[in-house]
Amino acid sequence: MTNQTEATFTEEQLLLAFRYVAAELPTDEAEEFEQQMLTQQSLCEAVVQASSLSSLIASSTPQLTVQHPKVQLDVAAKTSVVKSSRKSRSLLMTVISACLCVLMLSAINRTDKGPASAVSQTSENDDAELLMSVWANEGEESVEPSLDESELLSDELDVPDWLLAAVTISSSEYFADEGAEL
Amino acid sequence: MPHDAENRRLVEQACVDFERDLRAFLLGVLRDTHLADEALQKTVIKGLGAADSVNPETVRGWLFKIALNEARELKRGISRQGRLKKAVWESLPTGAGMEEHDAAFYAVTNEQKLAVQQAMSRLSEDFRQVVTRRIQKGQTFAKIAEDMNRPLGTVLTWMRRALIELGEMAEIRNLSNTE
Repeated sequence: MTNQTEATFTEEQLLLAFRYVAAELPTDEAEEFEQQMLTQQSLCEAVVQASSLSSLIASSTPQLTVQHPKVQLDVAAKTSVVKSSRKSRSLLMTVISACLCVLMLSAINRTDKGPASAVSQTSENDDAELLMSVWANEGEESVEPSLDESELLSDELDVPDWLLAAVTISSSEYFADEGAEL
Repeated sequence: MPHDAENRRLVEQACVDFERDLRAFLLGVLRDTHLADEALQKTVIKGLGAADSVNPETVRGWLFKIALNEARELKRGISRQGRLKKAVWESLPTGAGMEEHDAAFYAVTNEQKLAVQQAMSRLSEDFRQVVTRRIQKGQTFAKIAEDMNRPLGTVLTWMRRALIELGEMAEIRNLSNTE
């Protein structure tokens, strides 16, 4: 049996059928349209065409319009927060590692030169440069103790006071306890 | 009775031949895939039960009338739930949540999507804008008319013409004739 279409529809009927399947018709008009469909097969055919065509067009929509803009903003914000959080954590670990390295180097220096002598100014400057260069390398996962001088920071970077204090802490303050222990 | 058996076979064959159009029709009336499936099943059952009264020359129209009556009966039961207030394309199941049964009838292949996009690209700019805004972006005709700075009647005319042109395009016709 062929796919017989017993009645063709007019353009006006097609538009009316489209508005019907689009739920645009008021309730009373929709009910009247359904009543008319019982006696006019052309209106039924128009509904078939309108329903098929609009469903096909809607299903072929690019997915860009699927997500609500607010959802996209939320996702972007969360992603940014997560990235920022990871970045901060990585930086913190880097700084802590650098501080420990400095302290260890200072301890080794003290051991070589004798417990009574203070850490030399040159060593302190090197430590400061080391920590500042580490601070400059944001987002890097590992600390390179032997950083080149070419990787030093520019003047624009704002190094926190606590970091500087950690580098320039005097041997008398730091090793006083160790001396007592020894 | 041989005549009854012949009519029954006629109705069975008609249900198979017209299934796609019946489903599209019921989806347009009910705007719910599950309700459309239920209505289609009831249509087939009722049609087979009344096969002795069918006129072979008007079997399609006869089936559609049965389908419409079944759909209206279903609508009376659910009209208070507000489930009929959405457009037909808003009721289509999405790819992610589509069940296997739904996918068999409602899933659109990439080839079909491409065919539709090609057909849309052949519309005039005004026609394409109206169709895109109405169906793909869900704007009302009034909003479209305001944005495009055109009378509402003009926008409706463009939509009407666009639907006709799309329906006559080879790409869309080929999609309708497959299966």
